[in-house]
Amino acid sequence: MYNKRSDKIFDEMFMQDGTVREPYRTIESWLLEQPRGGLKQKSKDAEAIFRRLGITFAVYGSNETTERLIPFDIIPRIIAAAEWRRLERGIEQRVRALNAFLHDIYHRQEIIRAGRVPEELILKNSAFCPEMMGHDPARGIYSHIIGVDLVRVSENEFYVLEDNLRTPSGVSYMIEDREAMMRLMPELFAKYRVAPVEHYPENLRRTLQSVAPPACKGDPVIAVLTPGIFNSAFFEHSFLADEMGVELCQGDDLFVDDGFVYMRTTRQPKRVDVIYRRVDDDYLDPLTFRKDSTLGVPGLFSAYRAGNVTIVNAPGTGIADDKAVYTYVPQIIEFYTGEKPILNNVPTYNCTNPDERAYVLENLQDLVVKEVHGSGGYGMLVGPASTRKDRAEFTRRIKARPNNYIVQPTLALSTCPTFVEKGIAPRHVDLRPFVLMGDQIRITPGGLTRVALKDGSLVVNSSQGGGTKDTWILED
Amino acid sequence: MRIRIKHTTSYHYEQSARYGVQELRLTPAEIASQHIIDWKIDCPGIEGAASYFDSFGNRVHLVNQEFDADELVIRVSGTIETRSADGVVGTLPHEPVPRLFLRQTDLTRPDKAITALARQHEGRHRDQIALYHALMESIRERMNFDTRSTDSSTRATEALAQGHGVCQDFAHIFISACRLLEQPARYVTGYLVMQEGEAEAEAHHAWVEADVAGLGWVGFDPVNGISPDIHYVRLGCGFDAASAAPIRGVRRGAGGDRLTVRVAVHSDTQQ
Repeated sequence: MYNKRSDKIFDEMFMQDGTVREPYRTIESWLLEQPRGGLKQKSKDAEAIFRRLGITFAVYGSNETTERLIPFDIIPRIIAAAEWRRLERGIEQRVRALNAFLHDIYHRQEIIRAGRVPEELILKNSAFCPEMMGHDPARGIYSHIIGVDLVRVSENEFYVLEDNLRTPSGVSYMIEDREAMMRLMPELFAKYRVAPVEHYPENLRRTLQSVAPPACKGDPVIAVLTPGIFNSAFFEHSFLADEMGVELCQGDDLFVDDGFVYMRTTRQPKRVDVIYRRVDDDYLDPLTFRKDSTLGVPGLFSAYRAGNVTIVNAPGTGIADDKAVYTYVPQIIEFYTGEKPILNNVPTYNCTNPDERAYVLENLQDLVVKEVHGSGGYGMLVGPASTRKDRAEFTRRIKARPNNYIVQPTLALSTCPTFVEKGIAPRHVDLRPFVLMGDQIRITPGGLTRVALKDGSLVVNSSQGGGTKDTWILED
Repeated sequence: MRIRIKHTTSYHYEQSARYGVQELRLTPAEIASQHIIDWKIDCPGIEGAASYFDSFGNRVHLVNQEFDADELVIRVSGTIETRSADGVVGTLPHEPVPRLFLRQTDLTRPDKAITALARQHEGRHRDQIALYHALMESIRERMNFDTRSTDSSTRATEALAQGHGVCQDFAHIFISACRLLEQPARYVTGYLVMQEGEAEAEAHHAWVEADVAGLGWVGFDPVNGISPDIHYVRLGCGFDAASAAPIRGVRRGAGGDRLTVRVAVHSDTQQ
């Protein structure tokens, strides 16, 4: 039924000797039972469901129409309970440490004094937000909503590719993928005990309520702040506001009065205590950040500093998921927790170091190059898939601005069986679990599995032809 | 010295404003060189103002107005007792780590000329204070005081290139050079008691504080070539003139506006 890519690559379903890994046994027999054309039909049905739900995303920088349906693969990615427990511990350790790091960086900067992280990397970093110095956010939490990008390379080895601590997106796909799967294949959910993901919006609401500012005495009023319908993740903003039963606002709907933030309503204005913003830091408040921003609310940042409103995630969290700071996360974990990191960091070359740069330029065909401030798979080079011309271009760029790039070995991302034109074939996947941090840490069992649909491709970003899969965490 | 200050800022709008919001950095801190006897900010919206310390340790008031008016007037008045402290400010409560002030900004980012000006002092002075004094002298040699040649958006590089400017420009050049030499430096706003022969416009003044090992922040006024004395009242600080601005506002409503600032600073006892 299925040919593994190669013995060197870990497959989520099949072991080296061809036997099926435990969590996939039931799905394998189910796949074998499907009549000819059955999977194709399910795939079509899935597409119809998503069209009806209206889940689309916008692609930047392409010439064709920008609204697209994100491809969905009907074969789930399955993780056993014990595997998940280890991931959970690792993720929790990581987000606690990164939060402690943010608190420290915006206060006494002990980690710099201790010489564990170079001062220059922080103080002169464009992701560092000096306006946050000395501020104490509610419960001391900076990043409340986190999406950690993980990849698997063997039975027991997971690497963290990126910690998304600013405004991670994709959680609506996790929820909708599950809903679609339950409609398409109810019989499988009778055979498997899959941990639910549909509590996410409720947990998000609880998390947001738990970080209400000191000035809020009653039931906190929550609002989701979106840049508007032209944002690539607008669907998600409106979805989450709907699911939580809170208002979806744009900057114009909010205003500051006597140091508090209010929402315009058809009746009298309503005070807002917690703003889950999906607007970038730079655009939040034209008084404090970019003057030309029309997406934000003038005075919002002052209201925040005065303790009258909570901004979620806090401004300035980008310093903790900056690609150059990423290299130091293992030291950051040890510094604040006294523990060894449970999850691996990908070894990263620093191009400002002449020896490392020389190695990088010699070996570009085996390496992955990323822009320090890039995202979404734009502006990156995947060595093994690159042309001579691509490599020449990146050689030029790295030489010109060595501190603008980080370079990592090409990881052998695990593959997962995926339904494609020719049938079922292995495709590379990653995993973005979603973490909520408030009165407690809540990690939704599962997350978003992204799959590179192109044969052999390692780039899973939806903007680069990636799709998604439902992710099942099995319960004991 | 007892100093009385009256500082009035008026915005006259071409067309009525409907809503306005301002951050006011108009509250002096109690420091060795100044004791606040009384201080008052008077403007529409001040009764309900939110107040907090910003990341530089400045007391900020956030005020707003729901109005239909063609002007906004912000009045500050107060009395300060100044004492001699040789320019030493030390460390204020709510202050960030000094090395934060190594960050260059759009207004302070150096070019070749500022780099050359700074580098000629590198490793040439016995201590930081000597360095800062020498730097002030270099700037005074290169710059003429002239109120007509620059505005609030003039960069340090532009001011040095044309060789004249106001206190803001002198301060930006000084800050740019200090940061280039890895010495934290920050922009300071305040008031200066007029002495005979000084330009009236300088009553609302700006200077610099640089970090000195063992002392903390020490003030330097590159326009006058001295450390602030009893004629100076310190208001607030920031990375540059934009970030330390005593008033920063946004309003809703079309058309332009006209700004007038009147500052009266008097000492009770002439010394």
